Amino acid sequence: MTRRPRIAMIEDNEDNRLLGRALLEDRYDVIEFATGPDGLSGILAEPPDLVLLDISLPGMDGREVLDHLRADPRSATLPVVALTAHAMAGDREHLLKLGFDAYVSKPIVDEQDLLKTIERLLPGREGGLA
Amino acid sequence: MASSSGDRSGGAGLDAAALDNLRRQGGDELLGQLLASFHARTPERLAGARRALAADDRDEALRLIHSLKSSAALVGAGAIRSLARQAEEQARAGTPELGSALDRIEREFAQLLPDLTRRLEGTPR
Repeated sequence: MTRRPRIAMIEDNEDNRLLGRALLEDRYDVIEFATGPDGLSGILAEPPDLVLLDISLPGMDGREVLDHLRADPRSATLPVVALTAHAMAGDREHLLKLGFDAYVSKPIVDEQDLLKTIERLLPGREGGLA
Repeated sequence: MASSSGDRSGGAGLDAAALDNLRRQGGDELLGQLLASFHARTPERLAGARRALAADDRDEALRLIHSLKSSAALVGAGAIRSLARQAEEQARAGTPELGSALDRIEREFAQLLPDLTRRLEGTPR
């Protein structure tokens, strides 16, 4: 039996974590972190298959967390998806330029967008939803 | 692509499309949990932001306003989302006073409460 992919979600808002878990837990093992430092230490201790990373975290924000992840060999190549409410034109390009692999807008209205993004980026997947 | 569904609220009620979407995504239980959270946490966040401002901790006040905005967007409280977003933008632009923004959000929440309470009574938690 193949192992279920592990998704780490770093998101400070409890309600967004609740929704994220509801959307993902049928398919993936979801581990949640409320702050950047907690997420970083959890991910480095046991790297997941993909990271969903809120941009507007208090203290250490998502960009800073990404920099740390990319700088560490244990997490340098992990797929990281930015979660952000800043859905203005040009944001996508900016986030990709920073090193995020993809971008999903919050609130998550279209869960298929999130699921397709995850499936496309998970190592060894062909990008299709079962 | 995600849309700005939270902005479609008429002001005195939650956006039905946003609520329908949550129900579709996670059933009545998820919807009930999110409504209950918004009902309980909005006053807590407002009070926390006021305490933070009184203690001259603008970062903490903005963190709470940001959380409020995010949760309001989730349950389709468009007017509160807009007010919280304006407060964030004003703070970034250097406006020193955030108390009146909290007053406006509090008034909007009070207007929303009858609809929120009615919907809460109809959902499991």
